[in-house]
Amino acid sequence: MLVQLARRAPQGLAVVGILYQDTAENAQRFVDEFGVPYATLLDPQGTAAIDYGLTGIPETFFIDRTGMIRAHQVGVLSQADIDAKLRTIAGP
Amino acid sequence: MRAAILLALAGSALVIAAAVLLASSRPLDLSARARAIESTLRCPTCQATSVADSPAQAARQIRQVVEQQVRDGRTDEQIRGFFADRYGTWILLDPPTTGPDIVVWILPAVVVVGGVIVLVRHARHARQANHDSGTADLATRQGGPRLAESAVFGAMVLALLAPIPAALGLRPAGAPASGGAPSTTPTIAQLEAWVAADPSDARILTQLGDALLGAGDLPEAASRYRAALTVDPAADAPKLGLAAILIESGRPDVAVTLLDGILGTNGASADALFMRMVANQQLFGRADARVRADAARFLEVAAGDDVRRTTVESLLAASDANQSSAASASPGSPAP
Repeated sequence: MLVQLARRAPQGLAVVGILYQDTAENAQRFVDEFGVPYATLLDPQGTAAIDYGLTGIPETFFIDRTGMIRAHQVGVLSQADIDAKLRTIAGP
Repeated sequence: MRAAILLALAGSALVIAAAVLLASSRPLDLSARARAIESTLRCPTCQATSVADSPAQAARQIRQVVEQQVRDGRTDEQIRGFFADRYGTWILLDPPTTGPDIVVWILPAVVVVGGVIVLVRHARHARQANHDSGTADLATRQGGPRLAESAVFGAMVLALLAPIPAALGLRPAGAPASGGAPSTTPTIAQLEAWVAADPSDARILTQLGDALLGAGDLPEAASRYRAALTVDPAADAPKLGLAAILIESGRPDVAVTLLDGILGTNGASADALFMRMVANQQLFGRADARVRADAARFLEVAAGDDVRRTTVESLLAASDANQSSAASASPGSPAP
């Protein structure tokens, strides 16, 4: 779903993945296999996870253009979740 | 002269000893402080376990940050505040006594005081009833039950109060996280130690996976199950654990594939049948033929005292009821 979103991302929207509790090799295989089009960052020390207050996997944060987290979703995303939460970060 | 040299040497020795003591006590103090702070933070990926007690990777990473911040000279409150800013105050095992969190501290007292007030009022009503009736006999017949009712109410209040700290993940300072009673089930920490001693024991790896799964740490549990399968690819138990995680994570379709593999070689595995029934129920609903077939087969092979039998029987009964009502609501096929 995030792959589709990234491929059809409206102007100004960026999708970024952060790898948590896994190896770069596994991530590369996943990216290659599924053709993940968005940037995937590594977090080997888990500091990004702590900074975002991560409680589980997957967890998705919706960040507006000022850098504020406006919504987040713990667990699997549905299209309805994405639509509703994208509205919280949509510009004027 | 000789005495002066000895005195100087003794002085040097004392200085060196003092320096060694200072050097060794400082890290110990810092470590104890870090440990104390960690015991007040909730592991974010576990259930009611402190960061100090949890073997989860997330807890390990938080411990590293706490230790670094202690070394950097931050105060206990600054460090706890750092995590509360990021996770919210639920990360604190003893929430602050201000703001909305104060309810955690006040609620038990409010319930106790409320219980006492109700108890006293019931007792007064009972005495009034005795007085109005003017007979001791009536007092026994009316006041007795009222007092008994009050006592039962009070006991219920106290019984309801008891689980509040546990439900909120609170525990008195210094109390063991797992409670005071000794347990015959190995703890996660014990299992971790056994795995460290022998990483090639698939049975212990699976047991650790089960314990982590029970603690709600799905990523760590999955990691241990995968490690067990690396050691013993034919083992069913770690596959069952992974299937449970897949169902819990919203991937019943993948779980079904895994369970098909187990049932392909052991068609009488009650655990695999039960899980596949649950997974297929999520995918296709309880009336689906695959769900009903697994449910029926489960009832054939499961032990007589298996607690899941009731669930499966209820599911089959509900499925039968659905089918009956659907059949009666249907207009039926035209006669040939």
